[in-house]
Order: sequence, then C-alpha cells, then structure tokens
Amino acid sequence: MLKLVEKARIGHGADPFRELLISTSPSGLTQLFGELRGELLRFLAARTGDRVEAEDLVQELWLRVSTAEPGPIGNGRAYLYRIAQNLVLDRVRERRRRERRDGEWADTQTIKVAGEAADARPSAADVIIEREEGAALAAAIAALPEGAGRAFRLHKLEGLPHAEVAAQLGISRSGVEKHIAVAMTHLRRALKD
Amino acid sequence: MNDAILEAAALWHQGQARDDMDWGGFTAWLEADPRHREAYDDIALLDERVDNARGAILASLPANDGEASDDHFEARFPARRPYLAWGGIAAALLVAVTAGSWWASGPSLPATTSYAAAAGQTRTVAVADGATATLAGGSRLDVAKGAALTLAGSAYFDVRHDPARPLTVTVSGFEVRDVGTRFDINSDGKTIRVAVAEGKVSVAASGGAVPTEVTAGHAVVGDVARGTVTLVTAAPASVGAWRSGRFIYDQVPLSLVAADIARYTGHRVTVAEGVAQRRFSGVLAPGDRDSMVASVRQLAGVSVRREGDAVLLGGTGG
Repeated sequence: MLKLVEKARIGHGADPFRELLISTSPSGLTQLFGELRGELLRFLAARTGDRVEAEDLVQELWLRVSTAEPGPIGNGRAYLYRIAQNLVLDRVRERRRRERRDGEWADTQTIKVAGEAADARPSAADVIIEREEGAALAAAIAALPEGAGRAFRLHKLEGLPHAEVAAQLGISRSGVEKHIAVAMTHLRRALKD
Repeated sequence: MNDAILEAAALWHQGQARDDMDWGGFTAWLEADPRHREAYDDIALLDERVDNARGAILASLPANDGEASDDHFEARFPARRPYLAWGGIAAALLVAVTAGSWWASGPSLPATTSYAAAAGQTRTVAVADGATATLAGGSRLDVAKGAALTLAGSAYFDVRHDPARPLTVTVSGFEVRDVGTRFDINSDGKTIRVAVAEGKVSVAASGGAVPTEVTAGHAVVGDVARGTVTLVTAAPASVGAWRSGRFIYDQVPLSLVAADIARYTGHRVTVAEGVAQRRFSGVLAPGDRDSMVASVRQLAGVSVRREGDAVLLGGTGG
C-alpha cells in the first residue's frame, strides 16, 4: 500500500489518488477523508500559510488515517481536523525549536568549555529548569484577573472539562471559553520572551 | 500582535473541545489575516507549555518550600495545598472527602466512604492528596482508610506523581496500581479495561499474578473469570472523554460500551455472548438509550432486540 501511496504522491491532486483512498481501506474514515480532502487541504493551507506544506501534510494525514486500526469512527470530521491540527503543531514546534537553537548557537559555544561539570548531571539541570518553568508559569497564573484565573485553573490545572467548570462557576460554557481565552492572552503577554 | 487577535485565537483554540466546532469558520478566520495564524501558533504552543509544566506549576503554587516568596503570590495562595486554596469544585469536595486525613488514623473516621454518581451524571471526588477520581454515571467508588480504593463501574483517575504513595484501585478482582498519571477504568463485572492517557500504571489479576505495565496510549482488557489481560493501543484523547459528555471508544469491548450506556441512561443494555468481546471504535453522542444503542448498531453492525426491560445487542434474529 505504501508503494501505491508514493505513486499517488507523484501525481498528487489527481483523481486516481482519490480512488485509491476509498479502495485501499474499507473503513469509513478513509472514505470520509476522500470526501473532505479538499476542505482539509484548504484548512491546512490556511493554518500553515504554505500551499506546498499543506499538500505534504494532507499526505501525512492520509498515511495516519490509512494505517490506523480499522473501525468506524463517529464524528470523523472533527477527528480528521484534530489530527491535522496536531500535525501542524508538531511542525511549528520543531521549527521554533530550530530557530531558537540557531539563535543560541553563539552563546552555547562559549559555555561549552566549562560544560563538563554540568553535563555530568543533566537530570539535575533538567529538574531545575522544570522547577523554574513551573514557578514562572505559576506566578503568571497567580496574576490573572480573578474570573479568568479561576476558570483557567479549574480547566487547565485541575483538568475539569468546560462543562464542569461552567457548572462550578455558574456561567455558560461559552463564558468559560471566553474566560480561558482572556487568561491565555494575559499569559501570552506576561510570558513573552 | 494585538490582544484582540490573540484572544480570538485562544477562543478558536478553546472551541475545539466542542463537537460542533466550526472548522470552516476557523479556516476563514485564518485566511483573513496572516497574523491570525501566528497568533494561533503562539496560543497553541502556550497551551501545550502549560500542559507540560502542569506538575511543576502545581508544585510551585503552595507557599511551603521557601521558593515562592513573592508577596503577591502568597497573598493569593495562602493555603499550603493548591487544591485547598482554589475554590470551586476542589474546595466543595474536600468538605465531604477525607483527603486531608488520608494518612491519619482518627477514630472518628469511617472505615469506608462510598461515593456514587447518579445515572447521566459525573462526579469528581478527591480521593487522596493530589488525586482525583471522576465517576461516570451509575458508578460507585469505595474509599477505605489507608488508601484502598474499590471501583464498581467506570471512573477516570488523575494522580499527581508521588512514588512514595502509590494509589491502588481494586476493580472486579484486578488491582490497578499507579504512581502518578491519568487513566480510566471501566468494568462491567466480567470484563475490565484500563486505559492510560499519561504516565504508567500496572494491572494485576488478584492472587499474585505478574502485573502488566500499561503506558500512555495503551490499554489492557482483562478477563475477570480467567484473570488474563490483553494489551491494546488506545488513543490518549479517547481516555476519559466521557467526562466532557462524549463517549469516545478506541478498540473497547462491546460489553463495556453497553455497560456505559446502561449506567449513563439508567436502563439495562446487555450484549450477546458472541459479540461481547468484539472491539468497538467510534464516538457516541450522549442521549437516551434508544438513540445511543441505534448509534452502536449503525457503527458496529450488530442487531438490536428488546428483551423485557433490557435491550440486547448482537442477539440472533434481531
């Protein structure tokens, strides 16, 4: 099957690929993918700002879908979009990490010489970094406006779903979403490097 | 980047938890302005950063380790434990639960405290310091003095990492042991399933069986009568999804799906022997018994028949 996909990739965008989608797997998900391919591509292009990358991601998404355990999935549309979102985020994360590494390159060169002692106990260093990260985020969370902070903590730290946070705070579910969005905006400002 | 754009991005991000998320609208919003995409990247990465640091954030919040010396910080979180300090559900539950006296041996403590969730409702209880259990409708959790938990039905556990104090849950003769993770247990008395969203648990049949380790993204299905377990994969996003009102299944035995519907609706749903172990994957919208059973029938291709006050899945001639 992989071979067939490779072949289809060469002539991507063509109809034979679409047929391939439906014929290689009997599951409803691949069929749905075939139906939604156009809108998923448009979404990925909007999400990445890059048509070529979007095409590439659609192929990756197809691979995920086609190699998934066969079985019916209800609400497959949301499922496909969420996988697409995760694929994009993987790339964004990797890109930012690379940019940061490149930017820090000059700095790390000077530290390298004295790096031996620190390298001997990388886990201890990791622990400190983790603790500092936790402290920085905790401080920013503590400074959030009251309502936004409460909703944010219940949802993000205590792990309650939106509906339960809404019940707790006596507000609507969209009210919870709004609170958390405000909280995220504040945090973004506070933590901006 | 202005705050309005960031806030809109964060709103779109939150909206994705919904089944009725407007993906077309989100696409159009992204297309409208390249800054939208950047803002969304920022928000999604920040969200992930908070998730990754969740343990460290919680550890930072109590002002008892000499590090959180910021006045402002202490003023807002005067209590030692974040769960006590933060109002809402945690505080309300702690009134009823013996979390604070978990290791105490006060004579006034009842030997066992039982928590039950009514059909169609979930209930979150603090079962130990830093550990919560969310009970699915129609489920019961007995919390005995000394950290022994016994579950009948289905529950999602969220346990903060503490190797010194592992949490043990007994369910239909199986022991699930955990030192810090998020996982979901489901049992209908004949079959159990333990799915792990994060971290690691060990599952052992009673009688000194060798425990099976289950890591994130996996689940074990246990046969109660035989005391055997089978390891399968389980999408982490599907674990405990019922807490937000969606029943997401990834290779779950049909008998447990039926048990979920029965507990959720409060009406009996049984499964024919022949299809009880068939694996089911799909998403069920919460509803009444008939609509949920109809979805299962459609997705799994099993027959449905009424038998008295019960609905039978997979019976012959249905």
